Amino acid sequence: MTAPTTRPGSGTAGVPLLEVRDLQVGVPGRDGPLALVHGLSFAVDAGRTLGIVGESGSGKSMTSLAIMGLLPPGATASGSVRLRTQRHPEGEELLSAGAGRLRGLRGDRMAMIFQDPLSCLNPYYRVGVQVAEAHRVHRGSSRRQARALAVDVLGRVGIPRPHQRVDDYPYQFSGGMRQRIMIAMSLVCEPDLLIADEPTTALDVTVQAQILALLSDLQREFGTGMIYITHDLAVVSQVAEDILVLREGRPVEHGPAEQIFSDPQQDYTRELLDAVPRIDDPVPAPHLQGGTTPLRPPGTSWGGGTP
Amino acid sequence: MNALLQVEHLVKEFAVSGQGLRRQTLRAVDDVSFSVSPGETVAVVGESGSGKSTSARLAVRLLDATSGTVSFAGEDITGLSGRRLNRFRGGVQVVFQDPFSSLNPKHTVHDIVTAPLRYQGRAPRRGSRSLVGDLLERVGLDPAAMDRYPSQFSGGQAQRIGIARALAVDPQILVCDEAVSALDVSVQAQVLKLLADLQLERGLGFLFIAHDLAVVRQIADTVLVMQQGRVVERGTRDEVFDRPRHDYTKTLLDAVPRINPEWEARRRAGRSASAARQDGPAHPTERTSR
Repeated sequence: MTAPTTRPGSGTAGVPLLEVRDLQVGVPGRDGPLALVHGLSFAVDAGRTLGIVGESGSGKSMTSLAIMGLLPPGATASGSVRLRTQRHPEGEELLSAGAGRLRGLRGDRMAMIFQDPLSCLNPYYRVGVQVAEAHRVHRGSSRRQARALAVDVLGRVGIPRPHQRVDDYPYQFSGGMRQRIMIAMSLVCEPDLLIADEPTTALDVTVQAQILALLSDLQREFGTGMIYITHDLAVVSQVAEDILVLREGRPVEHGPAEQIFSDPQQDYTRELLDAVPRIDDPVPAPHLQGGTTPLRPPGTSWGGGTP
Repeated sequence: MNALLQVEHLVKEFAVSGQGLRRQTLRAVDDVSFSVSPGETVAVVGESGSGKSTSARLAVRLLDATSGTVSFAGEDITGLSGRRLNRFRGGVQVVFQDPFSSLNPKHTVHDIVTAPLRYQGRAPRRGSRSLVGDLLERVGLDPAAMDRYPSQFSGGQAQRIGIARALAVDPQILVCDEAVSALDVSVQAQVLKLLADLQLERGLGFLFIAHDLAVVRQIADTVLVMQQGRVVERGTRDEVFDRPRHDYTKTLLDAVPRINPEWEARRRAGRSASAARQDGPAHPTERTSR
């Protein structure tokens, strides 16, 4: 798969589509506030993809929720998240935006797709209604227009016989098809920014390849700026032009994908890359050869590590 | 090789709908045969719905086959029940995908690890605490952890507890049903390393069920590819990965995402250069605890 072509950012020259500066996210903990994200800064341009890579607990999902204004109750975000909008071509601050304004932007100018499509689709509504809902809300389209639009979008994400399947319920689709439906839902208003949080992790490898190709095609078509969040380095190497490596809420390394993969500067990035099993390489990763089993796995959640 | 666990012509049908003569069945496993020898790793790969997990469950008698036979150490165990089935289970243990849902949250690690011994009616000779301590140590956990509960561990640690439990009855075959799929890549590498060490140490035979082909490439001796309940290709690891014959195997292998080989080559070259400079490979830095 080829990387999507870069489209010069429309609007104010030099202003990225999304600019995150010194983002901090905290949640209340037993012993006072617990910081989950410590000072992240990055930018996403229209038509380009930033891959955010990290293991569990690295803060990658919290970062995306903070951008979308979807942090769980009690969690706080500080710093700056600016989205280039029609109202504010110089960048609109989202962290201080009101709930109403965020609702107006979500699903319209910025959208998100998640790992598990079933938990995001309402089992009681026909998929067509759910796919077009954002358009009805944000653009005030009629029921009839919405249905026609849903058929169109479902066809574009590769659902066969969309004019029939638009009236089916989520349970009538396979996992890969549900993921396509969620992608259709997120793209119905042609958002400027799409955040994809582990969108292919739950899918079979052949379906994953189809979804990755689909995202790349749609990005090329709409010039969407994308944040692709994953723990899978091989996947992110195929979709992202820029990579941000996170660990425990801190940036470890940030740069063009080629540089991160061919000449990583940080030990942690090297360690991650070494740990990836290679399908074309029967020689196990360095960790797997000889010696004794490492005694303390990383990410220990309790104090009593083995000496 | 002398096979330890052998399954022949396994078929499993599930009722999908209807009753009596109008019963509709789904053939989830259709004429599957394979064997696992001591020290051998047999991997069964396939996508969701291919029947790979069902085959494994049939092979360990967690499910009963519609037809076909399962034998262990030359004995037909297909129809066994009660004490004799229990004796078979002492020889074959399973490590499951989700460490948390397969560990009872209300039991201590000690009780979890010794559960298979209780089911077997076997009390360890030197008392169970020292046995559990040894097992935890072997899988890379602090023996003091035996009085804690599963929720106090990370995913990788919980999977180590599951492995310690499987080892408690000193089995000859370990069935790993997506045992490393839920783990972060660095933790996954460590657990794979632990499994490889244990295999070497104890001559364990592994039946490894996985959808991750890259992981299978690292550890398998023999690979079976399943599609819609049938084995469509089988061979040695390198035969299947380097010279796949079946179209479905080729499709699967082509779909696996790969890091640009040119980037990989440059990174390897850079790594060996810096290793030569620093007189040894760069070691991962110890992470600081919060």
